[in-house]
Amino acid sequence: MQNRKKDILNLALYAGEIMLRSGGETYRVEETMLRLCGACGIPRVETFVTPTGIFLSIDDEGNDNATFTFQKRIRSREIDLSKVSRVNDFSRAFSPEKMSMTEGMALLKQIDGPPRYPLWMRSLMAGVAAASFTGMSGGQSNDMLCSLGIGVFIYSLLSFHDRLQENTFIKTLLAAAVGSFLALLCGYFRLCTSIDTLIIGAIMILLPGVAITNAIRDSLSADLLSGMVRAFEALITAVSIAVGVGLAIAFFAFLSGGGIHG
Amino acid sequence: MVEAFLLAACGTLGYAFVYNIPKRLIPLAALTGACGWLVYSQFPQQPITGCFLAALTVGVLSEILSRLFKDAATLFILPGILPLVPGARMYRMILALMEQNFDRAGGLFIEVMSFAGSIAIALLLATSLFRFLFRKSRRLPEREESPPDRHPEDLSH
Repeated sequence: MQNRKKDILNLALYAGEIMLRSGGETYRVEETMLRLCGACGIPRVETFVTPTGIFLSIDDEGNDNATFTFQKRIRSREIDLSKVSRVNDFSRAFSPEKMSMTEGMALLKQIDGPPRYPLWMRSLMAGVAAASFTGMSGGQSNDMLCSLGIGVFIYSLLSFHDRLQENTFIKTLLAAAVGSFLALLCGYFRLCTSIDTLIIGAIMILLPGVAITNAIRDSLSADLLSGMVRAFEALITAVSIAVGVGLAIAFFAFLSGGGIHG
Repeated sequence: MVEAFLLAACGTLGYAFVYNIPKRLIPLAALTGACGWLVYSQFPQQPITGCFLAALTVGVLSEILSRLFKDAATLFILPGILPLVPGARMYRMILALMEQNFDRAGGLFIEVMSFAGSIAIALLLATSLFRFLFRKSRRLPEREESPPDRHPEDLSH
């Protein structure tokens, strides 16, 4: 009996972990775990989810009269919304009559595979996004072309940093600095007409859109702790972008011995 | 205008790939972002009002699409609001700070915060409106059937 409880805990915790790592909102992670435990017939379930860790307790009020609690620390995060969507579907479809715990775990492991789109495709699309934002802020077609290149480069750099498991803020700062420096170089060699639109395009890739949106949605669901944590994450990311861009501009001005647009 | 619409759609499309959104939802996400930008571009004189209304459009569209396609609203909201995020103003603020033009930097900072705030409030309004309208369908059956969180002996002290 204890083994069954442990299996249920592992399954629910793994589902919650995938969701939280991939950018799911706090209430959705909690709901998913409650739904999975409910489907397994556990009458008392309590869960507490924060952006950096999950707590889950279950008590089936059986004869062993024991409450099980597991914790899971979440360290790295990679936005992958199709994983959120697939775990969500899984939790709605799962029931112990239809599939065993081992099958459920195997299915979750399959969901937790590599991202849906390969790295080259995501990098290319990040470049497309940067180029579009350059165009939207008034860039010409040659600006958009430069921006495409810078976007692809920055996104590849970010993914490379992900592999090193580096601090998010250092990662963002470096990416912003490199992006701005490349934009200034493009301007120096007269490849583009407006350096500003290039840097804006590069900034747009790095902005903490997920953190801001989830901060709002968490606060709205009364997950105030998560909301505050995510708002703070967004703030620090924005500051590191600003510092990165500032550093690159200052460094370039120092190198070329002139003003910003020299 | 068509050009702006297409650019916003491309920007949102790019982001949809970066966030690994399922393939069948990508065109819808791009459409959401482009509609938001279209609303925003109708208010060149009052950008913050425009941003608020645009974010409201994105929020409402996302909630409708999430119910039509039985998927999480975040899948549409996350890429959809990105064209509205004030990256350009933030950049100009950094420039003003570097030129030590603190008056201009302060003004731009307040503008950036107003944009972020108006996006936040608009999304909040859209989400709570839909939660209110669809309250019955949103609640989990397991939660309603589960016994109270406290044991009776806890309550009687």
